[in-house]
Amino acid sequence: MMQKRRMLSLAAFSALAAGAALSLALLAQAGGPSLPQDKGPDKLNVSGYPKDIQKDYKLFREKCNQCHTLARPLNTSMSRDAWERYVKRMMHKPNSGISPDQGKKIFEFLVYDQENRKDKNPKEFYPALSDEQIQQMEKGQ
Amino acid sequence: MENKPQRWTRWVGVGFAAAAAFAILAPSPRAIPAFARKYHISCFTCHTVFPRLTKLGYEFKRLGYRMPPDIDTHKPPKKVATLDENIPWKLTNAAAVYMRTSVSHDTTTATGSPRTSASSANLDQVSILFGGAIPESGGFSYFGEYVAYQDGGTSDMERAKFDWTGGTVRNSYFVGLGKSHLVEGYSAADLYGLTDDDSPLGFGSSSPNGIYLAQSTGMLEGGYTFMSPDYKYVVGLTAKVANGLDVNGNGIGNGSTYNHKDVMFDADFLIGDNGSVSAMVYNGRKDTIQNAGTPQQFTYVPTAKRWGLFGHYKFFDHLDVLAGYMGGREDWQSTFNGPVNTFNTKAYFGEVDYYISQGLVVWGRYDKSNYDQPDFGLYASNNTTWMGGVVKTVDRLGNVKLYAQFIDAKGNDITGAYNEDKQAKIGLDLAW
Repeated sequence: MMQKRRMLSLAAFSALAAGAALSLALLAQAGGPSLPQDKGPDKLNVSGYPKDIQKDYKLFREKCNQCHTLARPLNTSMSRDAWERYVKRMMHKPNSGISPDQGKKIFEFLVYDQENRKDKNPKEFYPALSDEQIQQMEKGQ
Repeated sequence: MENKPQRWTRWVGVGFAAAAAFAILAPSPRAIPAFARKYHISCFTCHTVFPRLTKLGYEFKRLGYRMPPDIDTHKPPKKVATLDENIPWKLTNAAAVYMRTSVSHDTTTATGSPRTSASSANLDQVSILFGGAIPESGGFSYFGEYVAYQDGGTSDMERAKFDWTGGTVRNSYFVGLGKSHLVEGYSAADLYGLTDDDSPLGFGSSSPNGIYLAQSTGMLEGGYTFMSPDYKYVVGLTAKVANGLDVNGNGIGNGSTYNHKDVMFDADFLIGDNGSVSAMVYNGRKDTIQNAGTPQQFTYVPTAKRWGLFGHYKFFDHLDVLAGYMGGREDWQSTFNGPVNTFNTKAYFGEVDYYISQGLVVWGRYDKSNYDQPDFGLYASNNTTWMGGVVKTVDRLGNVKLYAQFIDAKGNDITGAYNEDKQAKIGLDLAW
């Protein structure tokens, strides 16, 4: 009985050790899971924003959080036209669940936030990255 | 509730504490599994709470682990083999580690036995997962799961298969060969629920003949998938021919060389953004030992059939209602050369999951199953299970999950003996 228990412990210990070793390897090599803006804050205090924009922010949190961290758009600075293209692109992602009306509200929040927060401190935010730039970034890591 | 918790609280407890510390201290943007790393997305894209799939997760899987392209009704649909072909293969984009730990308290009441209770800290599972589309291979993909440790058992290659997927995103088809689960459905029919104890009825539990649908064995499978241009409607049809289980309940790849050719057919209809209906049919055989350990012991080969219907609908993007029914019929022979009778099963469940916010779910579920044996009368055994709990992902990307749940499973077996198991559990699941 004692021997069986010891064997079980050894098996479990080996499993843990193997898992831990691969985990460390993954963590060590996981160079590019996120974009630079992903590492910034993923929440925003919107208490000073107009009521309508606060509602839009809530919708933005619900929909955009589905596929990527909210830090990505919150720490990215873009022009109004670029935000429009970006939101439309996200609406066309498969199963985004963002209706045209909801897309418009999310766009309105992003533009308000751009003009009233990001444009005042442009150096604190990241420019949007193209797919090619992301691929290049990955190769460099 | 079939697997009793292991009790090596001393060092497993230390492991649990270490895992909890890791969950709290690990830099979450890096701690994400393979596919999320590959596409720079969060776990929530493909899982409501891992491992249960979202609609996009189902589509991704059906396309051979390739991301469906953006909606563009002005261009012809892309060929599956061309999807994601520019993403180079990397170990970190192809491998992930999954670990489940828990602390539980169990109370058992049974006819003729004193009531017992026990608490334990458990290392439930450690798995290494690997998979993805093979770049520039013309449609090949692979998926595997090596279970290094599970519930006190030995290590095992749970899944290891290659697929080839052809056609376009709109109309695709695949063939696959390797070791996999006989059933891996979608939503209400998904083998994987919100927690390990929340998988659909009858999938993971054996019949008295020892047949269960979650079996992992060598198989050949093929399927067809239709996706409408806006991804509103998806139809997935799958047929599998598997080797089935040997007399000990093992499939090929688990020490058995037996080959019975079980057949499984599954149809999934994903309707709109929030609903789905799944139907499945199974027909198989398995060597079964009757009257084990007695002079009357003999082996026979019962035929087993299953048929199931499952569905779900998510109301207001928050309230997910799931339900399912599964019926079954198996041969039953009590004496050598005696008559072969029929043994019936029927089971159904209802579940309500309320997603308070992303990664925070309160859920409740009711399961009921009955089975009969000709020797003991129609539906002589009745079992009911109530369960419910809370699941919360604790990081922004959704790969660290905490949950608390309560399960009350009770019923009587064919002899009328009563048994009730109550379990309270707090668990921590990690994937990275």
